[in-house]
Amino acid sequence: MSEILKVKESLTGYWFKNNESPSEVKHEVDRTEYGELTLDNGEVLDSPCVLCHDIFCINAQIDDDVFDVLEVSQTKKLCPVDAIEIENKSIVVGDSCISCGLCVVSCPIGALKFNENNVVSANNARDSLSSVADRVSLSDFQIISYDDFEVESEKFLRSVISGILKSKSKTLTINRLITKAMSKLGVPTYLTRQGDVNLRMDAISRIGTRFYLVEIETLANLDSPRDILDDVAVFCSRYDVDKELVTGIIVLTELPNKRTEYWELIDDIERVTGVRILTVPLAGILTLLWNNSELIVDDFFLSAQNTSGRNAVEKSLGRKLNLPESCNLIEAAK
Amino acid sequence: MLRFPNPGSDLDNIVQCFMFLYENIERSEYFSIHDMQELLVPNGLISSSGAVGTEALLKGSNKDLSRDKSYNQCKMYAEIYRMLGWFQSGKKALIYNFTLLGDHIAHATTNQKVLIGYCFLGISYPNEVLSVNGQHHLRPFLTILKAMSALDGVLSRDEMILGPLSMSNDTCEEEFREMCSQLRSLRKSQTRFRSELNDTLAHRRITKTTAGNYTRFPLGALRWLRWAEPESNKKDYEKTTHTYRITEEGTDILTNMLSRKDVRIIDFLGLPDPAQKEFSITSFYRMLFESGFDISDNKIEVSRPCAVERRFFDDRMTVFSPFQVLSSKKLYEIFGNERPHSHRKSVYSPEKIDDAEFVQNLNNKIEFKNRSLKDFDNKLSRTISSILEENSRIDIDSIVGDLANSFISYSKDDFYPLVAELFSIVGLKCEVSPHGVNSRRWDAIILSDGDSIPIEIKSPAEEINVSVKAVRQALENKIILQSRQSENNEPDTSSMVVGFYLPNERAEVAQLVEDIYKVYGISIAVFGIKSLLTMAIRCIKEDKSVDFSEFTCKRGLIDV
Repeated sequence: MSEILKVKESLTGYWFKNNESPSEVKHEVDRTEYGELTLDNGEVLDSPCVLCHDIFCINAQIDDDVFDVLEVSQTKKLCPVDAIEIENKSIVVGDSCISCGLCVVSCPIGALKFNENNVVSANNARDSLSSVADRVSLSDFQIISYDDFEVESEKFLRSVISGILKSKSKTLTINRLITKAMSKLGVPTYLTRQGDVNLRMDAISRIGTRFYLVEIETLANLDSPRDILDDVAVFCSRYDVDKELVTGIIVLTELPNKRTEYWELIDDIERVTGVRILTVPLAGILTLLWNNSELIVDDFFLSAQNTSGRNAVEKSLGRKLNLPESCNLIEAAK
Repeated sequence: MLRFPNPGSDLDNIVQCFMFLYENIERSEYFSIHDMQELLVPNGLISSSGAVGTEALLKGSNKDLSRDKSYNQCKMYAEIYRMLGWFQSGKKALIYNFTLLGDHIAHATTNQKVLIGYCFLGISYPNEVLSVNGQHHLRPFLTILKAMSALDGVLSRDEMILGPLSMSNDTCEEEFREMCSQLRSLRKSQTRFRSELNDTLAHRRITKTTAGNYTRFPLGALRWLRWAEPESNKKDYEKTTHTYRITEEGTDILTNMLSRKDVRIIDFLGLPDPAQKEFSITSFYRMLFESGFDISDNKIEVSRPCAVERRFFDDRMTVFSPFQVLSSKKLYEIFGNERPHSHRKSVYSPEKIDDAEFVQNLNNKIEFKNRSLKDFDNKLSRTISSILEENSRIDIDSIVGDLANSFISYSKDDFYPLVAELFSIVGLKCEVSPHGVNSRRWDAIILSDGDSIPIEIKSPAEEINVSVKAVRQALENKIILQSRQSENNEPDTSSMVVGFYLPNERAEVAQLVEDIYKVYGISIAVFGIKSLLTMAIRCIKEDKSVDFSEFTCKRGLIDV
């Protein structure tokens, strides 16, 4: 009698009239329009929200097998500020939205978009839909046509960071955003419990047998590499994990200047302890997220010799980044 | 009048705080308001103003908790969570754990608001969970909706105070009718309404502001649940009045609830024991089922009256929320779930790690040898010599104590040279690092032929007890020295921390030192100033010195 039950969604959903299915969805370049959806019968329409089975824009898909002791403590909500919900059978985005785009990219048929001022909205128009008792799963739906995006811009990225910093709890917001975004980008990541002296890092990822201990910072300073050294020592010692199987990741909103001690320290640490610390810019994560690309974390070993994450992001994107030269969102500016 | 706690009307924050606590506290642990503070304050989820700092609080500061805003905010949140059935307390009122209902709140997804709605409807007084002032027999949210519906769909805040929240027994239809009839008649005259409200509040010795504060939470909840929305109403009142109108959603909920038998604690206690268990289980799983959880594996029939309802409650489905009505003892008996078995240990709890295990087994002895040359002449050595000459019978400990006290206000500009002088007295070459040289990050360094020991120093003005932060900096010093080789340095030679006192969290620091050694093979030795003073005084008094090699393989907390 004491087990925790699973949610059986009783909400009714929608599907296309005459049981037509979408055959193709095109996205506009910058997602300022809903996806252009083509049905089997050739009809073209703005992608509407069908209240799909998984409600991908609200529910986080929790990866298992990252670190079992943490599995139960992960929030099932995707939005880092809890701004999106269902109200009267419509997807509603509240004022606290920071425009991170997690919900926008999670909708398999592009029924969410960035409005003017980058506010997110959902297409709740139901003219082309009929109500259905069993909500339809879109988990296997493949977007067939996918335009190259250049949604990233310095202005947009800085507005998201500003939204994070102004949110009620900036630490919580950025931590949730990073873990959910990294998971979506193929690096399953869990937040750790605060106050757990054995798991001191902000988050932990796992790819195969390798653990990544993640520190997430809104301000770059020497504390982050120190934190990683501490995290690795405590984690490897107390969980009996070989140091060779552990990598540190520091996620930063802005990268430190070239002449700061940060970069040299990263080199020193690798040289003396063998611990590799990756520096992943938040802007890189968001850009890859918005472009449905992959995050190859090991490409982000930045150091005094290479203080830019630009190449690593462009490699995954397969195109040039739409950011100016020497932009500290992606590389050491000076 | 029924007095709700007033933690504010922002239900999103109340829910978010619960979710955050659930994510960060082990399901198998009890926890306290201090644990809530420790998690919620640094994350900005509740205001920290008024708090002297969680760390001080947890270390047993004797400050007045009643004046600590964040403590009281957490206390009110805890009370709300108990009222909603998400937390429960056992014998100690301020020690909590999550309930099975709380588990489902945390695991709900798009259905979370629906389940929370059921929790608001589940609040009823009296109950075995909370004691409230006054003798109320009340299911407040149902009665508020019922009163709105009966009074043309609207109710003002003050009508709520005078009406539903002041009823002595809302199961009495006559009392409910009278209350509605009184409010309806008072709507015709604002003067009469004010007079009636003032008299009632005066009789209960509550100010209008306080009474208003008691309504903030329920009004916030009604809006958040979308059961009622604010409306400026002229039609039903003598003058334009700020009211709350029941919504379509609120009306649907009310209709559904009124079709059921409202079961209160007194009805429940009248049931025979086996029936109590069956009824509680059915009620709980019905609540979960109706808010979207899959109960198919539990084989409990919830969509029609159960045997107990058929027999005792007129064959009607019922409204009853066991986790909001019954004591934790009774709930464990009924649901058979496992009780938490430990108390959450805060970051600041020294007992989090077993002290003894790590502080022992370290070789902390320092060997003294006869001094060959008197090469330690400095200001401090002269001071110590004169103290020894004047008081030859005083024991070393009391000189150490007096001298240490005289340094307690030292900033780093005074303390770093003091540390260097102490090492010079014992016979070592110790240099304070110049400011601003990045490759010499350590605060001082002991130099020997072909080797060196970097020292991270914490003056009493920076921190009175050595912290884990200093240990981490000592690790970094060693790494930088090894990497950049700005001085000769052997990989196995220790890195040193000197602070004023040894750490408060001795076990935590000691364990971190061991973790660092185990993983990186780097030894860190932590000294308090008293150990250095003891060594220095012994060297002067007994004409001894200490070899560099005595410090090269020291590890852990050193107490000379």
